[in-house]
Amino acid sequence: MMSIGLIFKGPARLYLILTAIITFACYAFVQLCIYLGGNEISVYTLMSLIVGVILYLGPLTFAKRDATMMTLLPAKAVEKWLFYMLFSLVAVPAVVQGVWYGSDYAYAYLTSGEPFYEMILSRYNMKEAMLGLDNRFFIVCISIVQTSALIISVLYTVLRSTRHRVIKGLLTLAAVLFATGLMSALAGFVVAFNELADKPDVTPDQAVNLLNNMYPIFGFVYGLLAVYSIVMGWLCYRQIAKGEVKA
Amino acid sequence: MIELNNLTYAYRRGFVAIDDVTASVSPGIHLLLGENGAGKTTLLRLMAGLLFPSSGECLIDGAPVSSREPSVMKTVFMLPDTTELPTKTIRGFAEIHSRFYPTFSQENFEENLREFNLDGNENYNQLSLGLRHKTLLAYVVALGVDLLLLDEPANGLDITSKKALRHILARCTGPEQTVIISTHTVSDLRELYDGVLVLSKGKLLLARPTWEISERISCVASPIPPFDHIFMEQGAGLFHSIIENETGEPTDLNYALLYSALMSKSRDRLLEIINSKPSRNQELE
Repeated sequence: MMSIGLIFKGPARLYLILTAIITFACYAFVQLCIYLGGNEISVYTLMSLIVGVILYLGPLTFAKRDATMMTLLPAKAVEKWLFYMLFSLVAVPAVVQGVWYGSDYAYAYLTSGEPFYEMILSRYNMKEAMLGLDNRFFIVCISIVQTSALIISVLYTVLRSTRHRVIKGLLTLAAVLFATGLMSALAGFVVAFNELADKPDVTPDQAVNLLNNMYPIFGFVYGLLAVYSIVMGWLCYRQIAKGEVKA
Repeated sequence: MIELNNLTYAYRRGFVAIDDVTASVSPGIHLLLGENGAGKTTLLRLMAGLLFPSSGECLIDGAPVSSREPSVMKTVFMLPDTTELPTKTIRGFAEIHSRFYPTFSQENFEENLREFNLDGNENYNQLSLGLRHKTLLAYVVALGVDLLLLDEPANGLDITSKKALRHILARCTGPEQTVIISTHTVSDLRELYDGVLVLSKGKLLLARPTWEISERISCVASPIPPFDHIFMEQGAGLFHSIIENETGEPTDLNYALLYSALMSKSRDRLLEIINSKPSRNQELE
C-alpha cells in the first residue's frame, strides 16, 4: 500500500499542504473577526463551509490519474481501495482537524484566552440544556457519518469517471449536499406538520418538544446515510476490482 | 505462452467485438492486423485484463489474466494511447512505478532513453505528444514483462525514432517474452515480426508464425502477373502477387499484401493453403 501511496506522492502532498493552508487561513479569519468585534458565528459558519468543502473534495487528489495504468498496477484491489479510503477519510480530515484545533489551542495558549472551540462548546451546552440532548457522542457520530457519505460519494465519482473527474466530483458534492439537505428539510417538515397542524399558537415548550421529536427522524436519516456510506464504500471497491477500462 | 480460449467480448448494446477467438501465441514479436473496428484494441485490452470477457478466457502461462491477481498483472503491460503521469519526469515515475515490476531493467531503460535521444529528466507535461510517447516507450519496453501490448507504438514517431524503436524492441525482447503490436503501418517494424494475427469483424482469421506462412506462400512483385497467383494487386507499375511456395523455403513476407489478400475474396483459398500443413507445434504434439 505504501508503494501505491508513492504513485500519488506529488498530488497527495500538494492537496494536504493546500488543505492545511486553507484551514489555517479560515481559522485566522475567524479570529480576526473576533478581534474586530464582528459576528464571529456567522463568519465561523462560512469558514466551516469552506473548510468542509476542502475536506469533502480530498478524493480529487486522484482525479489526474491514468485509469489503464492504475488498473494494470500489480497490487491487490483491496490495497488500492484501502489507500484511496484512508487518504480520503483519514489523512485529509486529520490535517483539517489537526490544523484547526491545533491553531485554536495554540492561539488560546499564547493569548491566555479561551479556545474558540471551547467557546462554541459552551454555547452548545446551553443548547443542550434547552433541547434535553444528553448524548454528544451521537452528534459526533452523525457528523462523521455525514462527512463520510459526502467524501465517499466524491471518491466513487472520481474512481468511476474516465474524463472531467474534477467537475464531476464537484457536481457530486453539490448533489449529495442538496439531497441530504432536502431530506432533512422534508423530515423536519413532516414532523412539524404532524405536530403543529392543529396547534396554531406554538409555545416555546412546544417548539422544544417538537425538536425533541425530530431526533428519532434524524437518527433514521443518518442511519440511512451510514448504510449509504457502507454501500458506496463497497461500490468503490467493486469499481477498483471489477471496473473495465474501455478507453 | 499466451492462450486465448474461445474468447468473446460483447458490449452492453449487444455488439460483439471479439467473437470466439482461439489461439496460442508463443514468445516473440507479433503483428496484430485488422480493419478499423475489427476489435484489435478490444483484444489487446482483454489480454491486459482491462476488460472482462463475456465468455472464454485469456491465460498467461496458465493463469487467467481477468483475475487481476498481482502475480499475473506484473507479467503484463499495455501502453495506453494517452497517459497522465503523476510525476514530473519519466525518471521520477520509473522510480516509483518500477517497484511493482521485478523484471524492470534500469540498464535497458537508460539505453532506451539514449536511443531516443532523451534525458529522462524532461518535464513530461511540457513535452509534445510525440516526445511523451517516446518517453513512455523507453520505459515500458524496459519493464521486461512477459506480455507487452503496444497499440500503434510508432504513431507520432519520426523516421529516426521509428528506427530507434526497432532497435529497442529487438534488443529488449527476451526469448521468453511476447510483444503484440497492433498497427496499420506494417512497414515500420517489418523486420521484427515473428508472428502475425489478423482480425476481421471480431473473428480471428489467422494466427501463425511468420516462418510458417512464408514457407507456404511467397509474395512476389513482377512486371507481368504470375499465372497461378492466389491474390494480386497492381501498384507502382508492378503486379504484387501471392503465390503458393512450392519450394517450402522461407521467403520475405509482404504483410500489407497478405492483409489485403485476407480482406479479399481470395481469403478462403489463401487460408486453406496456409493452414494446409499442421504447424510445427502441432507436429511436435
